[in-house]
Amino acid sequence: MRRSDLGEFEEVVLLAVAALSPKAYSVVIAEELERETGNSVSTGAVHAALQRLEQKGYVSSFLGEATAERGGRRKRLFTVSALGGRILQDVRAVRNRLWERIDSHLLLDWQ
Amino acid sequence: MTPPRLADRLLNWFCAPHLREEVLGDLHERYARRIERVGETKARRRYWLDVLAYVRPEFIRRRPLEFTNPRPTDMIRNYVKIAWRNLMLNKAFTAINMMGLAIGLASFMLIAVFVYTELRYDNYPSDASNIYRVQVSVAGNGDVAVYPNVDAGVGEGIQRTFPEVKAATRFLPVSDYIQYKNNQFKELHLAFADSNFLSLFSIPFSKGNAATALIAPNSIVISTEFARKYFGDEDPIGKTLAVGTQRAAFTVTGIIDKVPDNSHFHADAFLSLSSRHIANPTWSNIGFFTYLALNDKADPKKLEAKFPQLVAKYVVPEVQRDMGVSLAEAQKSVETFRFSLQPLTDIHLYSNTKYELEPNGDIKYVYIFSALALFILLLACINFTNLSTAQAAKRSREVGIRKVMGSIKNQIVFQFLTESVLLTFLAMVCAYGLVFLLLPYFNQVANKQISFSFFLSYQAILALLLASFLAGILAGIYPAFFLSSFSIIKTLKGAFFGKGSQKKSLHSGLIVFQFSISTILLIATIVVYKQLQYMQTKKLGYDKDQVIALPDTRLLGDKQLAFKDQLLQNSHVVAASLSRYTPGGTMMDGTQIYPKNETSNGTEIHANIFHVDYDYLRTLGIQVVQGRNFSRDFPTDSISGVLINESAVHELGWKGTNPIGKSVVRSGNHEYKVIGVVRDFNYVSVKQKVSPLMLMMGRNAGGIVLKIKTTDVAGFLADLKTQWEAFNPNGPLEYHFLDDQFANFYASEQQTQRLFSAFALLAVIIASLGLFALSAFVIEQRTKEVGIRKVMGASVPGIVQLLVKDFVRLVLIAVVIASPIAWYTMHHWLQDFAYRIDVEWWMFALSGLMALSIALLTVSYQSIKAALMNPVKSLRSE
Repeated sequence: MRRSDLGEFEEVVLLAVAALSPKAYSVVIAEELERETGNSVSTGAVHAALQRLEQKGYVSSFLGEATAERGGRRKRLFTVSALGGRILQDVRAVRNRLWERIDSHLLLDWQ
Repeated sequence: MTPPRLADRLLNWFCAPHLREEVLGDLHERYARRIERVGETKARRRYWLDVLAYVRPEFIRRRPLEFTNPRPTDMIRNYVKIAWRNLMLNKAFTAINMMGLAIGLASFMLIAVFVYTELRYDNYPSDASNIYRVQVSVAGNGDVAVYPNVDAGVGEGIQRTFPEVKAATRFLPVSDYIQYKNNQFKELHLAFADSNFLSLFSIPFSKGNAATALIAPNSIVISTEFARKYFGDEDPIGKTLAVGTQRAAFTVTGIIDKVPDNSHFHADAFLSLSSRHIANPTWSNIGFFTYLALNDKADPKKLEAKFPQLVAKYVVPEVQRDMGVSLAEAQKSVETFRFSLQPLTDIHLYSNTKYELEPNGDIKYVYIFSALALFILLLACINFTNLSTAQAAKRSREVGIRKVMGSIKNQIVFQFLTESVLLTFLAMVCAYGLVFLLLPYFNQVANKQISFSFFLSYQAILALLLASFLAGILAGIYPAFFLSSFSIIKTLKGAFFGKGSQKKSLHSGLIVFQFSISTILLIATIVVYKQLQYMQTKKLGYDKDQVIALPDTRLLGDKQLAFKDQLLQNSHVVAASLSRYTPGGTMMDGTQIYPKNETSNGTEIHANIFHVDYDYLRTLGIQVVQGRNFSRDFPTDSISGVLINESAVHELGWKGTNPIGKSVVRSGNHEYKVIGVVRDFNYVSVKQKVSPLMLMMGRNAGGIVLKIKTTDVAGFLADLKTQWEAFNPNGPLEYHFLDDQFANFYASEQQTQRLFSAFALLAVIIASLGLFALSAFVIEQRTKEVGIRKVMGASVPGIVQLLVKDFVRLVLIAVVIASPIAWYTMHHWLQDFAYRIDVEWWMFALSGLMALSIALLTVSYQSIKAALMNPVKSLRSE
């Protein structure tokens, strides 16, 4: 399993693409992440991450329709590819396994 | 509502084009959402941050193109490569083209620098544009005499009267002996100057105080070289120099480096003018070169217009007193006596009075030589044009292929221009070599001191690159358009050779042009040469051979007569006369005179004066045509007798009457009786008409003129020196031969002649180089024709005649065109000379013949080679 090339931000963006599918593009992803994390997220950072994900083959993209507020420009929509979905599941499985091994007393302490 | 436009522009600039749409769309959409949420101000600020967030390599890097276009430099590289191969392919043509262009560029460079230095005369004072020289013009007997110098009182008087004149300064050139310990020399370039002279002309001091150096009487400021000559390694400041035969002591108060080369005056040492006590500065004489510095706002024309009031105030009373005429008569001076202002920077090229400090240049020659430079460059360009179009057939296939591959016309034009510019740049490098070799000769001929480093300054290199570039464009523009206009199909089918008539007429026209220019220059050279020869051999009315002038026998004091008598003992001395005045010499006095007639006084004229003794006419072989020479039998001769020349008789209005016994009156109201008339002799340059002259007795001491007759001149001179030393003189013996001095008059004409010959030679070389190459090419194309003719029985002379005929006709046309132009120009040039040759038909014939024979020589070599060729060879090749 080679998943060391998935950075933390990339992972979050990839999850957001999956969550917002099929209408995932930079703006909505950035807004979503902003809302979820409370930190400001620029479309530039998201777009760059999406480009990297696409290069790695975890997402695929196509040009969508134009809207007025975009000044008639088309948006690039992203969907998670099969490889991307598998990677996400792998990541989740690793985490779940680790979570389950945490002592329940410790978990209680954190709350 | 729209997002910040500047931010968008920034993004468009750095963001890769293929990403712009989605990125900008995202940005705008988010902006719109933010406005609803947080308001416009915050949204705008965030927008900027968002844009900056895109400054990442992945957005900046451009997407590589699928099909790469060649860069513009790739094409130029190809052009240069093809051009280079072409140049190497036709080595002979390349050499001829390049040699022609190199010669053209080299002469262009030399002439350009000549013109440049001529135009930059006297621009070194910081206030140069405000400095004016005061001149005076005196009208009399239908003529106006202009003097570049005025009387002692004029400058100061003008400055006092008109507030717009900031400063006035005077300069009085002298030559005298100077001594320090055992070093004694005669200095030819000394000057008395006012204390503000050197600072007005911004001549920097290396030692001493510029403001005060020339204030005290008997101060002297010397140049570095002058200091080394007298003082060696000693420090000259504060030392005293003995000046003149009286050995007046002058203290060195300052050292200047030197007067700049581009100055209209050059003095090695400046003496304070306060040393000469001018008790009562007058207005009506001449002698002091006077310069005024005006305010920035002053108008010289307006100032000039106010000068007549000064003439009325100062000149009129002096004229009345000196000439002894009535006030009404003297009032006329207001009309005839005119002061004017000559801008300092115009002196060298525009002022040509007879009494300049140094020989001036002439704006006419600046124009003539500029035109020559351009013409010679043009001739070289024409060679290129001619040869390139002649070779067009060879290149036509290349042009066809290029067009098939998609070249558009402009690209082909550009290609051929690259080729010609490349050639001119190569030629420029050669031209630098030529200039390096020729510069010493050029300096000698043009009388300049230009160092090679001048051409290496970046301005010069830039200017020359520009000139070569333009020459390249000029030479290449026609061939480029001509070659690029070929139709693809014709060139590839090889059907190009059909129509050549239009091209041929262009070649003919250009050859005619080249040879016209060459012929004009040949004719000009002949005319200048003949005029010079005429002036040098013209009968001058006196004997200049084996006449020695000793200009400084005043060093002997009152022993001069004894020295003269001693010299007469020598059997080689035919005659000797005590006089400082020689024809062609610098000593000359002058005055205004008027004839005293029975009824009324005639008009005033200007007459020059030679002070002589009884033996003067005999020593110089001057003829008396009426009356008699001065004689010891008539004691009054030495007081009130005068000899005048024929020109004076004429101008005094005595033509047709007997002038002997009549009287003239000169300024100071002195009256003289004419005892004889001498034949006109050219006592100044033959360029000028002989003007009125009076020969008078007395005040003649100071110099001796000797007529000798010997084959051993060197021995005589050695003898002369020992006798001189025996008299214990105050200084060394100075002497010169009259014929040498006479030759100096024509230095500027000799310079013109040498330059003309050089340019004529260059023009002929360039033209014949071109003709040689063109004939070689044309004849090569006719090789087959010659072969067939020979097979059919044509003789070698017949074929040569056939091949040469066309070219000879062109040269003849050129001679016909050149002759009237040359006649017109040279006729004008000759108008400057009072005594001149006529432009005669044989001069045209001779230069025509020269042009023709040069053309024949160049063409016939190729023709004969073609005619002698074995027809088997020429017909077999296919």
